[in-house]
Amino acid sequence: MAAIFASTTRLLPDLKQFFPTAAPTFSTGMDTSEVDPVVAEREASRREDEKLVARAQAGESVAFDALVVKHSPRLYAQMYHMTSNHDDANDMLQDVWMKAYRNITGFRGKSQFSTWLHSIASNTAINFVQKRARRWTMSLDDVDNGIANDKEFAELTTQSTPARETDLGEMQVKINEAMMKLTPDHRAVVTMFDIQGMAHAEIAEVLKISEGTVRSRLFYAHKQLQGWLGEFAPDPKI
Amino acid sequence: MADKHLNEKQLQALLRLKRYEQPPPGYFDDLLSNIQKRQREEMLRRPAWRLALERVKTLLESFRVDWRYAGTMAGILLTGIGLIQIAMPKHAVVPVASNPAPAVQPVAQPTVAYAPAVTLDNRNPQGQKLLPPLQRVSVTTRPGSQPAPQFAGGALPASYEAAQIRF
Repeated sequence: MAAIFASTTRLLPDLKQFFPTAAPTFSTGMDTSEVDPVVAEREASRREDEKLVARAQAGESVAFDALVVKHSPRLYAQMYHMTSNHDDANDMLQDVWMKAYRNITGFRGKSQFSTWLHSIASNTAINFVQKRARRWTMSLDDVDNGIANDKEFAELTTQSTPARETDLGEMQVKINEAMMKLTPDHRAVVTMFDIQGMAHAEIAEVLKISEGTVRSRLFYAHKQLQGWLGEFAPDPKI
Repeated sequence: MADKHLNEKQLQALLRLKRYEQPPPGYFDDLLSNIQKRQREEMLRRPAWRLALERVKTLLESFRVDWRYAGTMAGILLTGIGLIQIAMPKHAVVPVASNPAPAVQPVAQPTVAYAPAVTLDNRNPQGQKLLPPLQRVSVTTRPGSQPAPQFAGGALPASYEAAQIRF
């Protein structure tokens, strides 16, 4: 009996993988009934995607439109931060959706729909940036007024840093210029991890590389950015 | 200035500020209508064969055919036809003779050599008609010669037969 209990307890994490919201609860002293709200939200989003994708595959255009509305902000961000150009991001985003529209019947659900979509987007963006090479101009989006309430921004500007004296627009330009100095592969990883908040595993799945490669690219890119954006570091004398 | 260096946390905080860069208001509404427009344009550009294929697919789907079941049934049907073909007796085959048929020679019509015609000049001094005796002539076949007269029943006329009547 004890052996059965022990093996069941060992299996619990595996079961949670398949039934994250309905995992059986055992009296092990560990409370599994509390579900992380972020995980629950992602699970609900995944289920919603599955339903919408099935309807879109059946030819229901309303379902495809719903997918466009739902995923476009994140995809746009990925495109925009890869190019620092609104018009390029807009063109690429439309291309990504057209590719998704043409191939949605071939989507078999082996990965999440959002992962599949981000794979298309990252490939499109990396190819675009590599082709464009020197013909590049910056066309930045406006900074949302919400930044004034951002804790990190407040810290940056209230500390004795050059950021306090620097105009917000100028800071935006410098950050974007530093981003554009990165290679497309490194930029993609920084965009997904630092700006969009994706996990290492998710990035690895999107870019079809190992997690180790994701970490090493991040490390290398951060080193470069730390050097290029050093002027925003707090003054050590004060 | 040169010794200034952002640490990992500070860099991440700085990069996170990029989230506040947002497209102009109403951008995503326009995006949806642009995508719908492109979808319509693409549908109009589709080749006719693709449209026909899609229609056939839709038609077949309306029958709610389970393709695994249909495939299995088609396989069984083909196997059955194959087995019937194997089990059926073959058509009778005429054995070919070992020695081939002799080549057909052109049929030559028999020619008859006639005795010289009797004329008035063929008379002896006594004025007696000197009829040449009936001669049996050999009948030979000679290709290209005049065809011999045909007799009914393949027999010679009665007058040509030797009299065998004895009293």
